[in-house]
Amino acid sequence: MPFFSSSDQLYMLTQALFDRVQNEDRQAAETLNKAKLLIRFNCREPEAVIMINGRRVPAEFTFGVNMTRPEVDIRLAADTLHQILLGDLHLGKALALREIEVRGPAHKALAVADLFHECQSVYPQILLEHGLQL
Amino acid sequence: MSDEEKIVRCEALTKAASRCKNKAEPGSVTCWVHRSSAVKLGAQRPSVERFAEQNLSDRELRERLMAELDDLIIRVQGISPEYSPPPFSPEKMVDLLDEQGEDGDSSFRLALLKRLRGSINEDILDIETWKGAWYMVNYTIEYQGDIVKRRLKGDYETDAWGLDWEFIEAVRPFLDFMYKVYWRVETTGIEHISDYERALLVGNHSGQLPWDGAMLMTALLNEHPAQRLVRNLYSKWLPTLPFMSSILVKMGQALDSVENGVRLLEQEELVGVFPEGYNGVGKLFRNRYKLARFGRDGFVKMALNAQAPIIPVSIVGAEETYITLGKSSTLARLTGFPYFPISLRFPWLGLLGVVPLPTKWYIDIGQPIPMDDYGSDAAVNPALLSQLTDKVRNVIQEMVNNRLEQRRAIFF
Amino acid sequence: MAISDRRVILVTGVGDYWGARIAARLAADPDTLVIGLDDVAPLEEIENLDFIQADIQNPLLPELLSSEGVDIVCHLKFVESSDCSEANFNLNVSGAMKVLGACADAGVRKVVLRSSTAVYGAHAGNSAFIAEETPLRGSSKYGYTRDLVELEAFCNGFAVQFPEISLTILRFANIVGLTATSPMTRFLKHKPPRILLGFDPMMQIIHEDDVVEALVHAAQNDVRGVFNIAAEYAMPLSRILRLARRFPVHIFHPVAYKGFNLLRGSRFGPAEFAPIEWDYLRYPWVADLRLMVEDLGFSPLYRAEETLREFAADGQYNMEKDGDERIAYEEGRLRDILEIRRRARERADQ
Repeated sequence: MPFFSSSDQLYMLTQALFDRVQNEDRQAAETLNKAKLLIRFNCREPEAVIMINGRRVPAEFTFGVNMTRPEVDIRLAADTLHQILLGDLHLGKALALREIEVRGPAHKALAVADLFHECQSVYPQILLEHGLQL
Repeated sequence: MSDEEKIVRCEALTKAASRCKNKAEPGSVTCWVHRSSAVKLGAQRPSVERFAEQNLSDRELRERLMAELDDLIIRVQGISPEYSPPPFSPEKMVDLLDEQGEDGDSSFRLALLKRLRGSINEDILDIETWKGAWYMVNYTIEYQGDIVKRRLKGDYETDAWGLDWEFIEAVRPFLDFMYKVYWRVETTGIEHISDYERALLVGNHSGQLPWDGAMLMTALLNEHPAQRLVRNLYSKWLPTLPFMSSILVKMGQALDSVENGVRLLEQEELVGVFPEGYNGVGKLFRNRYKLARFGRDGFVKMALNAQAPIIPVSIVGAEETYITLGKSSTLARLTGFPYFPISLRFPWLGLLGVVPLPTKWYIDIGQPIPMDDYGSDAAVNPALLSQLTDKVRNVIQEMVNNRLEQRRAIFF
Repeated sequence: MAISDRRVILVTGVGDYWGARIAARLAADPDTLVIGLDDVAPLEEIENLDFIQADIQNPLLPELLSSEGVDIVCHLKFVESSDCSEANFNLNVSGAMKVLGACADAGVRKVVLRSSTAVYGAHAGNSAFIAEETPLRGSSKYGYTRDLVELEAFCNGFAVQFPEISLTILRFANIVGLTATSPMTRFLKHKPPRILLGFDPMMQIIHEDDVVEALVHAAQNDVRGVFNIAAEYAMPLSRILRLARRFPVHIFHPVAYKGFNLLRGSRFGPAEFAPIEWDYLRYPWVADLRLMVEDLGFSPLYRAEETLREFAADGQYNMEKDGDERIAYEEGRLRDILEIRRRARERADQ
């Protein structure tokens, strides 16, 4: 059973999550800016596209398909993203277990690991606020 | 292994991370080759005993133990080199550390190991993350291999102009090196370029080869929020040389003609032109940064026909990459080049003279000049065309002069 | 339908490949009466074809055309050779001129000719997409390009002089297919194909079946003018070779040109060495397809990649010998075939 019931729900949750992280912790967002990272997550089950653009200040999170070409393109199941955000799964480990597929310079993808680390503390709370159980 | 125990062998590890098989010198733990390491190795033993004496907390003790366990594993593997490590093992990672650690002292090595483990999470026995990092290297290699296989089958895409993104990704490291390290390009004004709309970038041209176009392209790829690609227009002399035209075409560049420019702009692409043409590239050193006459006014026609704004770009730093003292028309005719530059290094140093100097570059992108106000017949009005051409040239000249004033030195 | 109501189409060159194929395709239509004209009979019997054995340069041609009430002429008699011989020129150019003159005399409504995008010539300064009105600068080293350039120049004048005749010229890109012979197929079948070191121009492909379809479409529809015909999306020569599973050998260009000059006039002839002239493997000659789509209303069925993959499969140039890769390859082939069939069905429904 996929954790997210719909793409909209996934978008809403991740949007809330990133907003919270940006407001509370500038540092993670700043690493994105410094790395000038342009990374896109293509989720399946449900289908969703999330783009993180560190070239805009402050870092911008866009949802849905757009014409920008990312530097790093990642394909993964939405559930895997969920686990990473919870902190149950480390990004590097996900790579090792081949649960995510990376196109582009993979080392740049690790710059987003910092951001996800910050998300871990905030994410469970966001889920609760939206009435979801872990 | 009972024989081994009687003869004291050197305890150092060779450069290949295997255990050194030499006999140890009497009274020492190492052979004569690794004599200098004796001190380090000797120092390690007492420290272990010291730790055992202190009253460390359980956790700290466990950490130390884990670190030593790791060391031990390395030594074991060093002794029996035929034991090949499992596919994703942190061994290679630690080997690298070992190589560095051999020069430092052992506590440094320990500290490094601890740092790495600490950067994962508290779960010390989690080597999964190590596997992950190791996997990434493997993955990149395999991914490259996949790319090669696919390309051999022709299974890749090129657009109608010949643009090949995989090719660009392949040359990107080289371009990035030139951009970040060699020329240390500083770019300002990226915000003047929109995300998805057409625009004509007009720049001053200098340096003997079209490096400025390449750097402008790299600047946008690296810094623009939408990673836009500049499609530069190259002169028709370049494709007669082998490799040049296929490389340029694969990077999305096209021949310099009004037709091509308009067509690209109509597809909402960013087009880059350098109207000084040969006048710009063949400039003598004493005329540097004085913009030559803008050849024909093709670029203004392009912008008007496609209703695309003109964005002036000034590139400072390219002029000094090759310091041209004079031009030889005789040599030009002999070699078939449109002109033959005589610089401080080329042709005296031959091909070495072709390597550009590592000056510091500044790319300044100016405010867009919109073309909407001009009517549809503007493109055939010669007076208007020359007026606009001069205007753009003046704007760029001003930008160049401003930057020259700000610049302190050529190489920094 | 009474015989007099039927459209009469005369196809020249039925003794050769293209004439035979177009004639067969046109003859399948019950509303059309197809007359084939050539000095040799077609190799295979073509159903419903009315064959008349005569040379196209025969002075009685206008009489033939008017007495048979020919409406449309597809002039496909053309000797495609790299030799710049006088005999070929006479047949290709003078012969065509005579045919056109005969059509004017006999009041033929429409004439269709087959040409090639090679007439534009391959030059460093070529536009990325060459439009039909661009002046023709095809090379004169090889017979077929030289003859086509001459012929088209004549047709230009002819169209102006006789505006009542609807003249349609189709300029085809490199033709690739399982049965046709063209400079490109000869080039691809070389063991190994020879290309110039460091040059990789964009080129276009068209499938032989689409050539036939295009000519038939031009004959059956009321359009006039010159049209470039190719499959959408040009691709670099290197990709063409890879899709066709050919691994070329690279020759340094000054050597290649020298070699060509030396071989000229020798027994082997340059065509054996270089079926496609070096310039055409060096500089781009990509034609703009806007008119084909918008005005002629024709869209090729086969995509360039599919054409080349089919060619590779037939020549058994594929590399995969074992297990998984072989399966993936077979899968790819079948996918191509199914895709083409699906597209064909969609078009038939429209």
